[in-house]
Amino acid sequence: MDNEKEETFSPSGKTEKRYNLLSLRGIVEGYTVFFLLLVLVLIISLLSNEFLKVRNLLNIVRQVSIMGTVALGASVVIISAGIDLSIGAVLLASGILAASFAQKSGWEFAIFPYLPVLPVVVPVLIGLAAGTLLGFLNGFIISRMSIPPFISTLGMMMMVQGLSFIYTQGRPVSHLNDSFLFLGQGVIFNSIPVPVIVFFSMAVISYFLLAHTKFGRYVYAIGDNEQAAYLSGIHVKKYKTLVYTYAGFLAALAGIMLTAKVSSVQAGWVTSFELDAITIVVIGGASLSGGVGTVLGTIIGAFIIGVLQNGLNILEISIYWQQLIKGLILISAVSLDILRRKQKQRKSAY
Amino acid sequence: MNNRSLSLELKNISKSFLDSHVLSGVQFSIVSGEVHALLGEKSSGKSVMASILAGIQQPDEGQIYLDGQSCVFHTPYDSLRMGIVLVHQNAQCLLHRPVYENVFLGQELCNKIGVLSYKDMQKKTQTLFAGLGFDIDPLQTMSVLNLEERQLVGIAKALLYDARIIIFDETHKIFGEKNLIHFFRILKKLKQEHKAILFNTYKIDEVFRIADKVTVLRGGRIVKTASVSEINNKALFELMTGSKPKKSSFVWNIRKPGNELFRIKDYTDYRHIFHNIDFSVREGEILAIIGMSGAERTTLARSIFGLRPRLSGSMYIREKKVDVTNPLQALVHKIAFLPESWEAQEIYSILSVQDNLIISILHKHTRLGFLKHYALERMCMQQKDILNIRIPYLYTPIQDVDTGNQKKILIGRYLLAGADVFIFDEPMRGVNFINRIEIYRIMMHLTEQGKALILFASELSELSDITNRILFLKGGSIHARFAKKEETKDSIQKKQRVMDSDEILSKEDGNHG
Repeated sequence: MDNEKEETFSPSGKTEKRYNLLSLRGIVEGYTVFFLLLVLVLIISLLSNEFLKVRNLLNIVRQVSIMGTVALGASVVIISAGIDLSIGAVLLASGILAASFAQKSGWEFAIFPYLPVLPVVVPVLIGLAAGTLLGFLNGFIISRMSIPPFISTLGMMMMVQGLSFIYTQGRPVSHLNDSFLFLGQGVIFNSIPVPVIVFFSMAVISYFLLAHTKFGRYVYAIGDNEQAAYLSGIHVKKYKTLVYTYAGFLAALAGIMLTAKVSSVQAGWVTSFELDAITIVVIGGASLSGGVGTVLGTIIGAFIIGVLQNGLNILEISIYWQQLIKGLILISAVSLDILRRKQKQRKSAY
Repeated sequence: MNNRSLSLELKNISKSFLDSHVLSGVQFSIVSGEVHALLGEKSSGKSVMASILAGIQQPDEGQIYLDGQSCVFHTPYDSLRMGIVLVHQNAQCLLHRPVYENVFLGQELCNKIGVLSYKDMQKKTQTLFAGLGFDIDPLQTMSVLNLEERQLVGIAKALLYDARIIIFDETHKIFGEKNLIHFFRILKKLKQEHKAILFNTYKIDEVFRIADKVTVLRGGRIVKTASVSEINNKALFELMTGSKPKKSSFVWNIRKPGNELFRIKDYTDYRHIFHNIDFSVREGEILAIIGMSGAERTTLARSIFGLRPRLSGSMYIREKKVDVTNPLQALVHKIAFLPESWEAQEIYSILSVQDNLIISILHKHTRLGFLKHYALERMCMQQKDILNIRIPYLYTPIQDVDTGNQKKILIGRYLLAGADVFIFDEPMRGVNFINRIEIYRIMMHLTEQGKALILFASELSELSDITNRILFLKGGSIHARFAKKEETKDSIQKKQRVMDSDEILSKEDGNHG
């Protein structure tokens, strides 16, 4: 049994017994979430022959990418032992703001009816700036005023929702320029959707930030033991602010892609993005008490939710049942992980 | 920071929390190449002084002068930048992260574009540990280490800084003799490197073992600063406690034990941390189990209380075989356990003293599911008098009570629950002179009632007067047994000292080979 595992050092800074990928037991114990994803793919592809077609797989990746971008931000927040309930609202608000600068000129119900056609960079930058600013505000309130993140981001969520209504007067923002729509619907190299490229590049950047920079180290440190981080001379407040700012930035990015994908956006849409993001991060192995979690885990978590949703749609299972199954997967993924950790703890000294 | 030498001076430092003055008018100075002991009893203001130097707390009045220049430290970062490093009492660490990351926390090594160099940090930690003689794997996750090892990692971390003064705030309080020798060796090395060293302690003998200068702090005031060669043990004691040493202030009469109350037979840990442990305790008897290695000692104590699975072994209470595999069963069989970190493990900090006392007997005192408040309160009042718990009233939140009294409250809880066998892990660690006598008194009270006491400790000195029998734990099994009549205190201590040096020598041989 001992030959199966060898002590290796993974670049994420996590020392863990690595298991031989060829042994089934190794897969189950070492990569619970990955195993779950495989099982899910296997079951759905056995039940439906539509599932494994390239077209459908591409569809899944496209679905996953927007949700996944939000979840990347959420995972950084959760690793720092925080929580951000406002990302759903920030996402919509940034989408609305960006879209309002990308409406077709001359349409009378537009927010700015006589705005000339701007290059696509302008609305995108405005949207990103708005999201980043809201994220920064979150971080500022949490770190400087010491208000618990749950409460301050809950308040922020309501305020941002209100602002979105005020800004749009409740009207949908639609009739968008083609150059803007490209960000959600376009493809590069004939087949790869833009959101997918954005998601994967953000995933690589997030991985790099978390695993290979001081910023990442400090995010883990603050999540693990804030007092220890402070006593080691780390600017805890600064890094906490940065964490929420980053989450806000990614939410804005996702908001712009979402708006472009569905060609319109309206204040008051019930997206529950914040809860979905938390679900993904937790399925990916992060702990809400902080200090634990990886970008890879979050990506796999996003794919589990994406595959599940797509598979259930293909199998024509009603939306009511889908909701139930999603909850079931969340609880079973986390309990599997906890079970595994307990076993590991038993094996190591007390 | 080119100039490595330093002189640090505190002038008229005062600090108060709410109404209580923790420090008043403190004048203190330290220079490079000096080992300075800050001696004082619990809550005499030593830790506050350390945290003011480290920038964790700010003084209400007074100035800090570094090399003659006035400085203000707002955060730990400010102090660290000036080369002032504090090693804390309880190592604050990242439990989920590997050891080397803890060592480098806040001073990570990066390459030019800000990418962390893991390999370098691991290698440097390895060499640092090797140089200090620590047997800790840098890649190990922090949570696997025991408390002493975590503290060692904290010390290593401090050495990594480009420090000019290192402050040890009772860092060594939890060390057993073996790590204490290690710790003193590190201090000597630092002294040779011409660093200033300040260490807080409440043990007078440590002052004479290592320090050059000593400053005595009592009730937030500096009572005396002197070089160690000019002062003696007795004078220091008087300065520290404000009273003459009264050797006979407490007379302990060892009782003749009654029938056998508790016995374990052939206890073996499932990971062989200890094996084939046999002993018994009689009614009214105090048994001390002395073990250098914290891991062995604590695992045995935890195992008896059912907190750890075991390979073999049986337990007898009043010669009846019982089965204890979890704490609930232990309590049913009237076994009480006060762990070393009892503050964290057994106190409900925001509940009142009364709630803390009655928490384990609530189910016995209800009528139709409602609590019998008067009966419970009467019982608490009784315990308060018996144990001499000094609190204003029973509804005080327990977190506002000092630790000595908290400990008494815990003992009271088990007394109310009717426990017969009391297991203490390190009962005297961190307890000051006055409270120690109180605890002796309570232990006497327990033995008078025919309870059996098992005391686990790393050193004998504080317990030798009160125990009936002593067991030495070494290498996972019982190494030696003494009964009170056969050995005097001196010879037992001599025996213990010899064992210590053996252990260290054999360890060093192992390292070289």
